[in-house]
Amino acid sequence: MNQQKSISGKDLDEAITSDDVLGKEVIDSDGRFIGITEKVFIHPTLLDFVGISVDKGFLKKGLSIGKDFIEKIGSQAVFLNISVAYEIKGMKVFDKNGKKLGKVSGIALKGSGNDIDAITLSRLTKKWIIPSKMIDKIGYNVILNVKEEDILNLEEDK
Amino acid sequence: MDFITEGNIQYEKTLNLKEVLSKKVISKNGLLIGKVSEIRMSNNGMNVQGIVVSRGFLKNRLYISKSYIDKLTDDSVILKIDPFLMSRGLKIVTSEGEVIGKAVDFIRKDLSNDITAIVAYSFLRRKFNIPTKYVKSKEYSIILKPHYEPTKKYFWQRS
Repeated sequence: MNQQKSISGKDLDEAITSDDVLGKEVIDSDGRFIGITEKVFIHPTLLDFVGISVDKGFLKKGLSIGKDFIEKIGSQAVFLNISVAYEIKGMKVFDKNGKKLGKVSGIALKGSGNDIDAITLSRLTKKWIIPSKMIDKIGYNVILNVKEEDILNLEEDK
Repeated sequence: MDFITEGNIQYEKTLNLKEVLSKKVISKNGLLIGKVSEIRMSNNGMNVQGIVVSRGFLKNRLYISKSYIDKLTDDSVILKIDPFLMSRGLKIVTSEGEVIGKAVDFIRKDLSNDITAIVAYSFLRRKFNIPTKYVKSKEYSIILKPHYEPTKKYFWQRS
């Protein structure tokens, strides 16, 4: 069989192709399976790899992830170096004493990065915007560093 | 209420243990472990030694000693740890992203939350142990470090 010719001017032996990225599982830094890579973004003039688009499954919105948040493209999955902020939607929210306050129904990020600016806490028909400074920990669920009374004193989100 | 006590009355700083029963138990990172079904006390010294957590139908109850408890409040019990026993069933992923099995058990130092190895299982690899030195992170799945070599898959294995 004829060997493929190359006019790249570079050693492409260690380069990976779009086929090595597309269709792979995307795993965040917490080990969460985020979805499957469906697109690779390339800058139109600089021709640099910019990021990937992730298909999160049926009826779920896709997610674009910049290359700065990609730790490694493995042979079977793409690893991120962040815990994807959008994944906290639906998590339970506890106050500092462990009292369940409700669930996360929305997230506001700082700019186009992955840093959380505020979360929307929903309990039945009520909603509150909770600034990130009131968040103690985000893990399996969200734990605040304030008591329930402090949240109830916040203005409700209409 | 009348008081019989020596020195200052510290009543306000105490907790009614009856109110802690059936409260939620939450791990360090917010995982809901279960509900408090018992509070165990030493029979000399009257100190709380630990709690028994009820984890739901058909699940073993869990005793957690006080050294792993961060705080007891009127609303819940918050732990200092994420109990490894709750990680049973997590996928085990190599540094290349290959899922090589699921965690079925843990080899622990005595009965503590410190583990020395993960007992993993997959249909083709059967049961195998992964020492903790190869574990990079554990939360929603267990991710291994690059130098871990997974055991080979066998379609047929002599027992």
